[in-house]
Amino acid sequence: MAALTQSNYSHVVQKDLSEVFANEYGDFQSMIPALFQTAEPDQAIVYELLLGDLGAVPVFDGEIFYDESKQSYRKSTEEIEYAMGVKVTKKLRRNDLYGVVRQQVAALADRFRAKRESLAAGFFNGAFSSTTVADTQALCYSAHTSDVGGSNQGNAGSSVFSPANVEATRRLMIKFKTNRDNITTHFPDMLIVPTELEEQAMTLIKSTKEVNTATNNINFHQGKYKLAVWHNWLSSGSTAATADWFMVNSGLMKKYLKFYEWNPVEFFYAGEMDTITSKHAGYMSCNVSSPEWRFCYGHNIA
Amino acid sequence: MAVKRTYVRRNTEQKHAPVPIGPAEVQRRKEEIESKREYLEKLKSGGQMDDGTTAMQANNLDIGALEKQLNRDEQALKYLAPVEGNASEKRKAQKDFDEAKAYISSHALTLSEVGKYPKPNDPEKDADYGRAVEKSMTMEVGNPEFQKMCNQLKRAASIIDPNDPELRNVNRYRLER
Repeated sequence: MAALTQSNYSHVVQKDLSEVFANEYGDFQSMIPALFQTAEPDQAIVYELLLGDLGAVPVFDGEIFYDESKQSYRKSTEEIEYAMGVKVTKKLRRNDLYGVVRQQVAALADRFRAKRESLAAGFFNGAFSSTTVADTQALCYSAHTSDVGGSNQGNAGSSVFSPANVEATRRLMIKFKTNRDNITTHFPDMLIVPTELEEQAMTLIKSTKEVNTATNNINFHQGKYKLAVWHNWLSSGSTAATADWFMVNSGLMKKYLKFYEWNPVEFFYAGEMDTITSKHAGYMSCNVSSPEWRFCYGHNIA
Repeated sequence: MAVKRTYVRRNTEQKHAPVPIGPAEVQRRKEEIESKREYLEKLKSGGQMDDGTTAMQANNLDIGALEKQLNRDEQALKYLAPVEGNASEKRKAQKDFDEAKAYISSHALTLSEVGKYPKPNDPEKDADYGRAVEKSMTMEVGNPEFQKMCNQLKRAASIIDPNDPELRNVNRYRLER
């Protein structure tokens, strides 16, 4: 005789668990949308190609000069899948008077949120070592190369966060050249700092008037930069004096810095007849990448 | 890559030698790799995680890319982690270290200059700030040689004592005034 089983009616007995997941996940304010362009690739390996810039416009002497540009470096990014689940026995579910199962499912949501954030922050955490861009050098490196005729340029420093160093870095970034040594038209407008530098950065850019002064002057840096403080995941030094910091051009960053999401986080569940357990699982596949380094200037102090 | 690493890490004169990462970063990466490795193993076996959750079995999951990335992470850590030198290497590193330290001390903004702030209504202090910016442009942030010396100091420090995060802290060698 056929019987009603939990696996056939799992929606009825477990419907609240999905809601718990959605609420937990939605509560978190991720930095990813603020810094990355989310993209949904249509193939497992994504190739990003940098293009060679055009040369300077010459004087017209009766004949048009046709420039010959060519492709530059190429970078590949591969899809990586992540999945994790919880199994709940019937007995536990029945006797769970204190909502342990709900908490576990909520913890599952937290784990996925943490993984996404840590993947994204890992891009900056490895900026001086393992995060590479299309020219195969680290994201922040002192001698980025060009294969289309441009000279080497650097975007790595070792200077502590201070008003003078912020201004010096801004001036250097403004002087970045394209891969054929043309003047760029993009200017830095954002600071990315870890928790240790939050207060200093806020003081630098948010106060309308100068602090620590009786004259209350206008603050030169006020409103010049947007501030992104990446709590917890941006790990760089234990004190403000050793913390890494980044100045970025947010427009250029959004253009090149991609959070590839082949499969956004999904939550699903099923009942298992043989063991009378229900399984709840999350799944996602994503990766981060940027072929370009010009949107960023990083300082690694220690 | 491992062979190259042996050569590069011991040679502080190598122009493009990577700067070894600091001890805190080594620890963070080790923990991340361990956690990923554990996750991967659980994916293979469907075993239970520390927090009571159970990893899915990877029957229908392509774990090849994850394995590849994990291997890359491990290789990168081997390549970038500081390795203490032998006596002779330490002597050589100490010389490089002292040279870099002297350069940094004489070129970096002083601690006093680091604290300078623009003050438009106080010409004297505003000029101090302006001088600090100009000094940073010519001698510190805008000076490629300064960055080279910082890298030299970090490389040498990692050979002398890879476990001392303060030794490679560039900020420590700024003069007071």
